[in-house]
Amino acid sequence: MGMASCLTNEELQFCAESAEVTIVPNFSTPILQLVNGEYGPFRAQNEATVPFWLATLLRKRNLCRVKPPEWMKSESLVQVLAAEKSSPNEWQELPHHYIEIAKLLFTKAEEDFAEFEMDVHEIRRLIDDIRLVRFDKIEKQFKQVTGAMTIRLTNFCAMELNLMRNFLLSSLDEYHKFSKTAEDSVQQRQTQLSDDEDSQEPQVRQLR
Amino acid sequence: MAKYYDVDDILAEQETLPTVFNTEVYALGRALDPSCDSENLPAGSSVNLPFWLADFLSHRKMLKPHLPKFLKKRLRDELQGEAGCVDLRDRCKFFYELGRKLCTLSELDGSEDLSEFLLNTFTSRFKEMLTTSHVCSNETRETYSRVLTNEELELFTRAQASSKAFERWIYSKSTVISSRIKRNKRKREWEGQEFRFRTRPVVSA
Repeated sequence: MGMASCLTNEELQFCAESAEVTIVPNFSTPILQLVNGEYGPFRAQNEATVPFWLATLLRKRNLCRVKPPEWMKSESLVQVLAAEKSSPNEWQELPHHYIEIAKLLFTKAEEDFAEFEMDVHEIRRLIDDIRLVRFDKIEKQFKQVTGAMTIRLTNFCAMELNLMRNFLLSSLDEYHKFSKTAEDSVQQRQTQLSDDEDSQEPQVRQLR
Repeated sequence: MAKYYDVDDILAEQETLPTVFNTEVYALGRALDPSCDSENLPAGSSVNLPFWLADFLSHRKMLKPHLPKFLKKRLRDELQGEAGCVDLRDRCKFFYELGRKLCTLSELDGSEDLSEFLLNTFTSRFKEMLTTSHVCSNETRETYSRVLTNEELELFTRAQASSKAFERWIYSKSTVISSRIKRNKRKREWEGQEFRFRTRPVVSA
């Protein structure tokens, strides 16, 4: 399993950019007809829902304000963080691309948080904490691995998976090699035993 | 049998193990054992041979292989106590690879619990690595590269690579997705302009 067989982080971000977000445009246009769909119509100061890539594009040209999604409110993040800390074997439900979305908003629309009465520094810190706590739990969970077994990984997020993928897949490969040699050596011993029995038979006949 | 193009596999088979010949070896006494005085190597003499040769000859019942030093009882006990701290790289770079190969040698004594022992060692060392390989200081990185066997080092560098890629991504301001398909070096001309793929439309108000 090489590096090339999984997505890079940049490609994951690309995937995350198709998620929807609410924006407040400061321009008015009729429906925008684009290759992959129609967006709008946009009216100034009225909220509209667009994919992230369109939102960042408009934001770059200063044509809109991006409204941070509901789950990014600091109260709900504090709750999530507390729940993450209190349950060692469970992960809280967060958007599948939460790390990517957070990074996108922090780099492309950092000033917009204040306009929707959110403290960007606190949110950034909370999301970093959540990420670290979750990652720590993943490592603890994988400490139980000793070969073939099931591990429950619900609510695992894309970026977390991508970060662990290479290491875990190659370690599972290594475990697979071990189980294969164990099987082989057992088989070999059995055939050897039956060979021994075969060779003993003529002797018994001779004794009779 | 070694995978033909796998250099690691070939190097693993190059590791020596002590063997005792069952038969007399003609004309190779000095080649196999420099301390031998005669042309022929007498039966019952012990020689260190690489795995690939020992494997080949033991199938023909010409010699009896023994466990190499790093799998002897003393080290095994040491590993059962504190697997994480033992310097396996110093003992054998291909500890697991060679160990697994030794399991398939039927003539070897003490090989019954060998695969189980290898698995246990790997598991306990893996647990240690799990918490340190993604996030670690420069010092741990240095000690790890001295202590880990080749197989473990592979895992460790993979983990390091993915966490490095993650950090590079999260601290970068802009993201450029590089193409996986190698583009033709020659520039493509398109109506006098350089041809570029536009993945997303340019929107202007």
